[in-house]
Amino acid sequence: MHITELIKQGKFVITCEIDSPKGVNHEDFLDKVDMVKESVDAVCVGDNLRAVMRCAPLAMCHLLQERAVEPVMQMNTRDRNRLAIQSDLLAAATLGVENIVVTTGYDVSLGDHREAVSVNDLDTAAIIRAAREMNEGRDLAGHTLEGASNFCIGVLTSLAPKSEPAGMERLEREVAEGALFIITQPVYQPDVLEKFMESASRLKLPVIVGHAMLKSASMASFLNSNVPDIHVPDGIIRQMEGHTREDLIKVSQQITIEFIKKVKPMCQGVHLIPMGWERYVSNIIEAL
Amino acid sequence: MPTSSEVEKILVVSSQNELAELAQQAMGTSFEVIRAQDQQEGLEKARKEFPEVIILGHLEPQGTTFNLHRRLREGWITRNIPLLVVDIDTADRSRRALTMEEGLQMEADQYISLVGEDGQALSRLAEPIIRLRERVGKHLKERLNTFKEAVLDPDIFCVTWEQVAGRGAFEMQQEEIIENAMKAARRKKVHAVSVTDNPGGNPAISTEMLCTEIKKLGIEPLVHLAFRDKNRNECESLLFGLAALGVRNILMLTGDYPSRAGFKGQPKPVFDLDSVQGLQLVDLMNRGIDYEMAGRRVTLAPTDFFAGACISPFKQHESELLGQYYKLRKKIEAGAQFIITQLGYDMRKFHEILMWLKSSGNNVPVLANIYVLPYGAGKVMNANQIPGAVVTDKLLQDIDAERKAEDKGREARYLRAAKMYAVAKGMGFAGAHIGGHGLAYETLEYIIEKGEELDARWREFIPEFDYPQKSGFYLFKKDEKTGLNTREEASRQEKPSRPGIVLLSRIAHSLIFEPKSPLFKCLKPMARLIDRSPRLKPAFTYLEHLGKVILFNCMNCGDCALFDVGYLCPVSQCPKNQRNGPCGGSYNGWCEVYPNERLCIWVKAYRRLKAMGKEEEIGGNMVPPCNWELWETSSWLNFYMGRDHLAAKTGIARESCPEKGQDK
Repeated sequence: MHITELIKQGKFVITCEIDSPKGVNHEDFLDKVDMVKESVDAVCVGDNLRAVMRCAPLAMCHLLQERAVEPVMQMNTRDRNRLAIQSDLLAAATLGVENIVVTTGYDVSLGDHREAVSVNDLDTAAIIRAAREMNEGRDLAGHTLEGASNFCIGVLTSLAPKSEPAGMERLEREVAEGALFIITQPVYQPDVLEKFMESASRLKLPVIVGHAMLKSASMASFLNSNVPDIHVPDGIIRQMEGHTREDLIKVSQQITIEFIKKVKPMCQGVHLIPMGWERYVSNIIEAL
Repeated sequence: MPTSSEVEKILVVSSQNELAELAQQAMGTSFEVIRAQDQQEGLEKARKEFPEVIILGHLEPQGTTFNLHRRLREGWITRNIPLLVVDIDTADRSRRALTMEEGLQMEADQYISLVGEDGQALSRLAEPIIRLRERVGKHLKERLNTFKEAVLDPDIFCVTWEQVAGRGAFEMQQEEIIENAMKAARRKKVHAVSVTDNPGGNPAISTEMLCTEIKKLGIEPLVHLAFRDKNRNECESLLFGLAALGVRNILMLTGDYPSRAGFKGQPKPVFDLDSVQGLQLVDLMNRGIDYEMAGRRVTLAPTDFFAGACISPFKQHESELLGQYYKLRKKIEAGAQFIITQLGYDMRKFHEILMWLKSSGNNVPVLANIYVLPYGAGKVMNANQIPGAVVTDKLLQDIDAERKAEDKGREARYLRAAKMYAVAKGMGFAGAHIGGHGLAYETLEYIIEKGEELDARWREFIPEFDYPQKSGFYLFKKDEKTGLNTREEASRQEKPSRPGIVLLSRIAHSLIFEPKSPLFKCLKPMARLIDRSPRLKPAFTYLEHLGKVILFNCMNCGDCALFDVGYLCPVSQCPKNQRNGPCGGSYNGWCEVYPNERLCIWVKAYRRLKAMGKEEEIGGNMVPPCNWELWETSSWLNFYMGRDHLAAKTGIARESCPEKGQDK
């Protein structure tokens, strides 16, 4: 079911991001899916996530559909030109994968193929336009397609203070091109989301707030220093210090639970990134 | 882990020299910065040098830092050492310690990214140095033994809270201990939570395990280690386990005699070590046990225990009391770093310990035992049903009167504890060891706060703690002005035994067992002959045993301690086999196990030695634990062949046991 459909039904939508395998063995991916599928509304698969080459998300989304799990496929601007983007979108539509989230993707310098060329033939707004055109039976060049797609298009946005002014402008363009829902980058401060919700209220789009589980204090500090759009407040980092591994798992879950509880009244859903801790997702959802 | 006197070490593992320089700059000369350039060297040094903190930077090739970080985190030796991953000059991605993927899976304690300006070495910049110093300092502080700091700091009045471990795995008593520890950890008024070891000789959940859990709650535990139930190997093994899990505070006790509550009957009393020997073991472990295995010397990593012992000044007789102080002298010599008193309410007695320490030139911090005493417990203690705990008739009457109040004497009880706190602090104790059945945390905090409030008026309360034992002996003369003690020693009037037996034994001893005596010189070759004869040896051993059974009720330990205990056998006549002085359980001179029936052998030994003016020997003579290799062998032959513990004193050279083939 389309993400927007779920939101229309009044559901607080929970999506969960699971990394696509780096390799051809997908058992691990499916094991993780089994851990979360009873607790979440959809599973989201990244597109060469964090600029690390991985299996194309379409294959994983197809496997998800076979298991009756609603897929959400990410598509970045970095790795394909407009021919590849459109053909992949048609492939997704053919296999019935309809929830698409458009993103720019991390810089190649952060990933595992640092010499790769960044394509950026189309920007996010243009990809959204391409998908919307396909829903109307056309491609970007205006050619008529054999049949029309039925995409539900979302966009991934940052709401960190640094990129906010430009971000809001970009978001407006993306919405104008046909984005139907927003997923945010991981957020840890409810008040940051609150501010964003105020400024984004004129867009009248459902917002699903992103939240990556923190696995250790050092990992949180690493996010702060190395990922420009994410900020974990010091208070949370301190909360995670000085615990044993076992206790850290509990503390981390508690941080996530508290965050979601606080933001639940403000937004329409949460996009949970378990960072390999898929087995704790059901605990978290139950505790909400 | 090094002791505080040594220079503390910080290990920096990075292929960039700059990081080590930065660390040295940040930490100054009181720290030694050890460098390692690659994974293998880093791992080896982390395992062998026991750094206080490990700083991990960029290593070639990419991915090595993450690998090493994981191995350090998972390794048994290194997993509790704070691990900091530091990125310097983050503009250059290829020189970063971790990739994005690795960073998101990081399990280090801390990640720091230090960015410099173009072309400037980081070690010249103040900001990154300060940040690194702060971060490393934070971890060093977390590793401090806060109980030890509090005990040793003269400006801190240390508080420990005693918890009594109960029988069972899932009982309310255990639930309450953990709840209490959690509250104590949160409120930060208590420096350590101590847990008793099979209290009263009854089976109970392991203090070691509870203390390991308490440590995780964020407060220092104090493990009671009683020698009643564990032999020396078990002690060592438990201590290794505690050291590995970061539990460092130990209170070494003889332990009450086993109760009858054991599984299918009374348990076997072990008492393989006494508290003096236990302290020696810990001292050795702290220096790093050194031994030989298959012709190779092995040195174990030093542990970081902070070990203390107990003393009971609440003894009635001179002989009983002096035994306590002689043994305390040995405990301090063996390495006791703090002392906790037994339970009592006579302030002059509390004061006596401080006076004894001062007059004997010892400067060991002492914690005063403060037990919140309700009538029921008082009655039990008054009847001597809790070994060593002294509640006099007068005190019991006072409590009896107090309980007629509306609150059943609760307020008076808490106030008494608070006043004890104030007086202990005023007199110069290093802290208070507070206990009480079912004592709620809130009450404990009330006692501490009230005690602090009354602190300045401590002298006023001394008369309220005038609870002498009936014709009880004090080491010092009373100071009538303060109600405490003067510096002048009291005369020791206790009647010594008739010197007959000891004198005879001494004479026999000096003839037969004194290496300088002519008789010794004749007996030694004879002993060698018997020792080497397969026919003579069993007969001799049998006859010796027979004779010594008649004279001393000998138990054939083969490592004779008659010379150490005034010619009394501690194996047959002391239920706790104490070779270094009395335990704390005696009552009016009687043995804890046989009250009103048998005198404590150390009371008898004192009286015997006093007859010859040699009672001081008790405090000077460090006796090692019985060597069980000698069990059921002839102690005389062992003596002449230099195989028993006396060889170290007499200087008799060891000759191996022929039938054993080799010298073990």
